[in-house]
Amino acid sequence: MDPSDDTTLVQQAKAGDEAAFAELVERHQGRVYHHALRLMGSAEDAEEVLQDTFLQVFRNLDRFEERSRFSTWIYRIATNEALMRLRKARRKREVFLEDAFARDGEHAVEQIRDFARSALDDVADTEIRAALDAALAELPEEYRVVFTMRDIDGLTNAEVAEVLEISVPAVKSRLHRSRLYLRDRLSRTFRDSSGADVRSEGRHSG
Amino acid sequence: MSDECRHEDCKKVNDLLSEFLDEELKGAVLLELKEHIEKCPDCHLNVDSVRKVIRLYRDATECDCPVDIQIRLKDVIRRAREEETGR
Repeated sequence: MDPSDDTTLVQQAKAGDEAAFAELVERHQGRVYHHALRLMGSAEDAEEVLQDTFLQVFRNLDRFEERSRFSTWIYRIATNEALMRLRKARRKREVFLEDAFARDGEHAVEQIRDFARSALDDVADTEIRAALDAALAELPEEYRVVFTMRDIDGLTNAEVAEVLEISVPAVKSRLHRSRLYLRDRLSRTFRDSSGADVRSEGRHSG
Repeated sequence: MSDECRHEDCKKVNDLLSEFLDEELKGAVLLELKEHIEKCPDCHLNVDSVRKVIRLYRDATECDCPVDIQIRLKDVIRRAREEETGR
């Protein structure tokens, strides 16, 4: 996505060009929808977030001052919409934090060994995809949102910090913990599958 | 932990793993970490497995919005536009 193209479209859309606005929607709807889906966990909720996000974009475009990229601005709106809904639904999982992150610094080498040496390259496999989704869904939203934006959607640490209105060190910390958690979680999942769903590369430690 | 490495070095790798993968480390810290990761099979696995997780999520990402959802979104925006011009 070329941000300079967004800039031109944004200016045209601000001037009332409906086709330019439609093009902006076309460009960003997929990423916004999947971002919302990963945060909300349900297609219905994700669609509501998508619609409300673009309604806000439509209504507030003239107030967008273009200090940040248009995509970052949309992410901020979509993320706030999603987090607001999640908070309302009180789907908090704080207890998880203590248990899941307690093992920081003492990574389970045996579990990781199995995972790291398996050939999990076929991500089209529905079971692997389901495992990825399930692991991500277990993260508390404040971690899930950081991992999603940073590692899946490719925003920079500074952009994530701007969207969430937190510091860059806080982004880095949440990202790091999320990555370790997901790795440990997936290691357990694929170890438990005993190779039935995961092809071994045939490398074994001595 | 492997015989060649001290637990403290492994802990350091674990703590700085994300910054290492994101290529944010520089100078002596980076060299020290690289050297240790090359020598320590457990840390090598630790780094490699996290890198793999990130890649898995990235590769599994879909970017398209389902067509029915796109149609409904267009409709919502059209109605908002009509409301605005009708005011």
